[in-house]
Amino acid sequence: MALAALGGLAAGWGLRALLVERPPPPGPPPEMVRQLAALRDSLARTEAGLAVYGAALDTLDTVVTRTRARFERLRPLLDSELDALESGRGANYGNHRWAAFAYGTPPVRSDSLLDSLRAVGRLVPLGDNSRYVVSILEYSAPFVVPSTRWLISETARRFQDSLAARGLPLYRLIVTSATRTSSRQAALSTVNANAVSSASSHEAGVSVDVLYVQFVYLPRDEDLPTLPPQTPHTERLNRWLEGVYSDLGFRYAEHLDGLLGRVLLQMQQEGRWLVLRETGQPVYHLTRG
Amino acid sequence: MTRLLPLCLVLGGAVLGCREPAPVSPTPSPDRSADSAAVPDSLLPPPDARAARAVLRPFPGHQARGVVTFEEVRGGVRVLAEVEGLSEEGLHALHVLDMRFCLTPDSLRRPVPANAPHFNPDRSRHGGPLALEGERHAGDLGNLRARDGTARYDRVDPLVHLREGRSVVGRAAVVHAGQDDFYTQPGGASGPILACGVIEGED
Repeated sequence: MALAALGGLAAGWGLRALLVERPPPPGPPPEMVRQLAALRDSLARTEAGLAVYGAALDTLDTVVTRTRARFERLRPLLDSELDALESGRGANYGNHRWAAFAYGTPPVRSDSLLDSLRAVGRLVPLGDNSRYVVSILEYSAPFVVPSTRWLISETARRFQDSLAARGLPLYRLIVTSATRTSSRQAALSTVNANAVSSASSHEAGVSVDVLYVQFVYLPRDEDLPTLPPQTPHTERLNRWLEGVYSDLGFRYAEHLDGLLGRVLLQMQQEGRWLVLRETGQPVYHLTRG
Repeated sequence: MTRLLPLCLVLGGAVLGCREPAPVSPTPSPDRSADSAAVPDSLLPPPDARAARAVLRPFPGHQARGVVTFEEVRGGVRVLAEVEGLSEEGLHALHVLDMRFCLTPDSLRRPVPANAPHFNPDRSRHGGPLALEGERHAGDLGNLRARDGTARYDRVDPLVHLREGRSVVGRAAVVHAGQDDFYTQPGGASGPILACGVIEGED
């Protein structure tokens, strides 16, 4: 009896809770509504921006992957080609000396003689351009005979043409040594086992050294893809891509050397260069042939 | 052919037909005689070439000193530096600053600070000397390496000028204790300045 009364009471309370009308919950204040709407718009814009950005990254990713694949297809120098560069005609240093004797200036024994030869145009300056760069010289001066300067430019042109033909970005050659006075040649021989202590072909203005383990990327607009309109930070993305091209030049230096070595072998066959691929330091010693 | 060259020279190359192989490249090759005769003006130094010079003097507590010369050549300015009193450990940055003094022109005469801005008429980022225009300051000359305490630097720089608004004349050339890393902005994290000299034009 008592239990039935309690059950009835509970059911009554439940019915009351269902039947009594509750006041509607208060809506958000108008300020919050405006903020929520702004946030929603901002989110939509961000999503749209991310979609554009994602498309831009996809484009860059495709470009990098394609470029890397093209590098992979470049063939490093074969053993037979290395042999030809390290022990061929140009590998006989005596030939370099004879070429220097035949085509070069008198031995540049001093800075004053170097200046005299410059004054009459027998030695011309060797500075950076779109084909090659000249590194900071410590034991030589950035001057060579005109035909040697032309040959460096021609070598770099053929190298870059080979790259362009394969759809690759262009790289510049790095000249690391040019004309040495006798005193600088003697000083160099004390720190560089590869440098001869006697007369060098570098003293006649006809020889240069060119690195084969490092190349400098040449930025060009045509290397940059067309990114979707409204891509944010396009300039920074392009700068990033140029950094990738620079890094690829380091990573695939052996492959780039494959192209350069073949250009030099060809030019040696044409009688233009004497080529000695040095092993003590990573340079081609080139003397006008 | 080159092995026969001595014989050819002795016996008279022209008579014996010791000639150069014919060029096969479609690109015209300069006549070899251009190296020794009939020099066109384009190979001669510019007739009105300018020159300038900075004598680097050590800042207090340092020993580095030297001379940097600047000379207009075709294709740029030859920068030739010889600096002694440098440590052989590591490299030493060489910069041209935007500043026109080595010691502050006030009564305190303090050395120009290591973070003084580089000469940068193009408003470019900091970079290495081999970078193209727009990728480096005109005053970013690179690094010196000392051997036996002395460093030598010789380079034709296409971005250094001795004329008008882009001229380095009147600016300060400095050598730092540390190496320019070529990427830290805006100074290359090169450490304190060891020596400084204002670049003066030469007549």
